[in-house]
Amino acid sequence: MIGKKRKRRYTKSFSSYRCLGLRFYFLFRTVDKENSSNSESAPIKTVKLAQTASDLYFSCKIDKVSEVEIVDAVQTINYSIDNLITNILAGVEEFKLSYCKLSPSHKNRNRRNILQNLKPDFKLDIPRLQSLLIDSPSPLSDDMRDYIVDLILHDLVSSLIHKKFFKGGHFFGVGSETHQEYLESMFSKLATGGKGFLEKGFFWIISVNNFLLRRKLGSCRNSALAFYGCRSCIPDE
Amino acid sequence: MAVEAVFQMNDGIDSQLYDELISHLKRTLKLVYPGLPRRQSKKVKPECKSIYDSIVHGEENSLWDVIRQARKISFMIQQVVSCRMVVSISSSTPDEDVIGTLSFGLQKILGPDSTISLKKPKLVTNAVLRSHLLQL
Repeated sequence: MIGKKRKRRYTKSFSSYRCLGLRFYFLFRTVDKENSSNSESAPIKTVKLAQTASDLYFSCKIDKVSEVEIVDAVQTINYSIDNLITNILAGVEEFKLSYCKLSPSHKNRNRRNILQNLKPDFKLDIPRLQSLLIDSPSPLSDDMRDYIVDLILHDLVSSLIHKKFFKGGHFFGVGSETHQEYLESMFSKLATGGKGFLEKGFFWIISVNNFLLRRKLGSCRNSALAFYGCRSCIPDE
Repeated sequence: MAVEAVFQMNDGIDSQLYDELISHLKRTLKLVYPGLPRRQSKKVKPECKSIYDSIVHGEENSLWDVIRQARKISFMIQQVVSCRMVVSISSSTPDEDVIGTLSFGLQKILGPDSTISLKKPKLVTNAVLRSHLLQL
């Protein structure tokens, strides 16, 4: 993994917000056209992030995606995460952050330590692997460390992204964990009450979400909900 | 105005994840490569406090790219109305033998007990790690 820095593939920026099936999406590209029109070998030098919504380029094509496209998107993000971690590890190598060099006797002793930890009844996990890296009585070999570090970084990035964007039943990627848990709990209670109850409860969920958003965004609340087509649901103050 | 409001909401979540990723990556590198001098090389950027900062902040654009791809997928997987898509990792697949996740998977849920795996997550199990480490 270490050594070769792969070329970054593209620079798209996406932004979306969803809640209970009412969602928003806008796609924007802010890559300098001159750079993008250059030959493939030329590196992209300037990638501007959109600062305001007026910088965005709208597209609703994503509403019509197929399963194949979603699978491709998952493959792409997996590749990008690989790329990211490869670059970080390449940076480690660039700064010559090498491990302690081991003598052959140390290597053998270390190998015995590892093998003891790898008995069939001994369950390894990420914290154990981290402690194995940090607290090992003798330093691990470079190959072992590289493999374990690679695994730890992959797991770290995947877990954080999953927690933020994909964890949850109906509400995810919409705010703090407390916010999501509260909405999930309320939705499940409403859903068990039947269809009619759910339709009535939908107003309550919008109201609760509205309250939470108001705390966060202040005066932007009405505008945001109106954009979802829910202006009629907003109670008068 | 409404577009600005939604943009702010998205931006807040993305920024929060970005900050978490940066801090966790730096902490992990610091743990794995401890005891290094604060400024080992002239390659460290002046605005960076340490080598770890310099390494992680060098990948800012890649991190943003990954975050926005994740947001795109999280939006896409709700577009299929007839079923539900789930991006899966080790923590979402209860298995005591799994240590960590190397890549995301994708599941299609057709009903309470019916699931199709469109793409399996790449997981590292105790058995795989043992065999790998024994080969080293």
